[in-house]
Amino acid sequence: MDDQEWDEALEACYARVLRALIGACGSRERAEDGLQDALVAAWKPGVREQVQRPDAWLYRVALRAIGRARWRRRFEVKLTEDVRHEAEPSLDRVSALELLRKLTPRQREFVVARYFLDLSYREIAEQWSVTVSSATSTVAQAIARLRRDLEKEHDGWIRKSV
Amino acid sequence: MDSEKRLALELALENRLRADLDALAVRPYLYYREAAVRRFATKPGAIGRIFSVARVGATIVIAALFALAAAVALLNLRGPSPAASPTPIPASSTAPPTSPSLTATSSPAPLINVAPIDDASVPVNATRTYTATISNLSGCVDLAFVDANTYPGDGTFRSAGNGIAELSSDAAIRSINGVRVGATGGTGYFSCIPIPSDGKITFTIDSGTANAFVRPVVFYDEPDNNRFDLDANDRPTDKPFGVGGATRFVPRT
Repeated sequence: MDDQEWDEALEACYARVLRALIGACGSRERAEDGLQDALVAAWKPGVREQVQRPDAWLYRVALRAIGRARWRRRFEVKLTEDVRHEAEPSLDRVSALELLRKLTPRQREFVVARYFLDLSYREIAEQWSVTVSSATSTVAQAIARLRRDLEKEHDGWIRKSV
Repeated sequence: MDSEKRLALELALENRLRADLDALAVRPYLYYREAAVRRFATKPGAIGRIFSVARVGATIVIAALFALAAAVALLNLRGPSPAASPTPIPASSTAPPTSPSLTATSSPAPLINVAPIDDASVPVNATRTYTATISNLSGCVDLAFVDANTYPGDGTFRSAGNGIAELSSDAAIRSINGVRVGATGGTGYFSCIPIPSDGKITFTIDSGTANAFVRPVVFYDEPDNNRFDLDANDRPTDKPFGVGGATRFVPRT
């Protein structure tokens, strides 16, 4: 992959990655900073040869940069920014960011990677250096948590909204 | 049923994520690319990193120097430590360099001094007067004699066994503070003499035994068993105690 092909690959995926980062960290500003750090890293020699999926790589590297830039605790607290609050907690009306706010940082990262960037569990496991079963169970726990919380807030929401 | 619900939830979640996140506007790729290029260009190289480390190191050194200077200034404000620079004693001073009564300010140690401490010879049946000066002690003291020939003067006494000092009965106490004691010629051991307010007990001794050689011992009998108790090394456990000078009773010519 030469410079031009690499640049085209990045251009093709940067928007989805940026949106995924906003979903995972809850802040456009931090997501953009993270993306720029990831792009800087992308032009380092020897990087592009190792990358299978540019979007997955950019997403992971940007999240790492965001994590380095901020304390983990602040990272979680700041997630309440830019969140719309809906009166009715049905899935149709709850914004994606508000849903993700209920999850742990790792669960958010995996859920966005799985359901927005369409990464397989194997690709998630490779990017985060975890086992496939660990990636699967993290996402499953996130789903269970979302379901439990939504059921608690609104009895029988699944029957109504799904 | 659970798996169906989960599947439905996953589908709904996916749709919601796509709908909400895809709706977010993003700047053109060139914007981020140029910003990244600028950031890449301004990243410090090897020399820059060295300078950066040097800057941090210099800052730490300067901070340490400031802290050291502040500590020195603080110590100077507090004045020199008495232990570090003791006040010199003037050459003309006659004051003793140290004494227990001067140094022990909180609870001075109890003390018994018996004077005179020099050896003397007196004729048989003649008397010799001693004064015990007792300080920092209340209650009463016992008075006894030890054979001066067996007293080594190194703080130990000859043991009679069972942790008791061997006492002498060659001499007798005739009077205490001017009051005669012993209806039939005195006693060689006197128990519990009350300590007067001035702490001085004057007593006289005599002996009818030719060549009796004794030293008076005044001690605080604790426990009160009318014995002069010794430890395993023959040192008194009845403390404090004081030993007077030896008296030899020589035959009259």
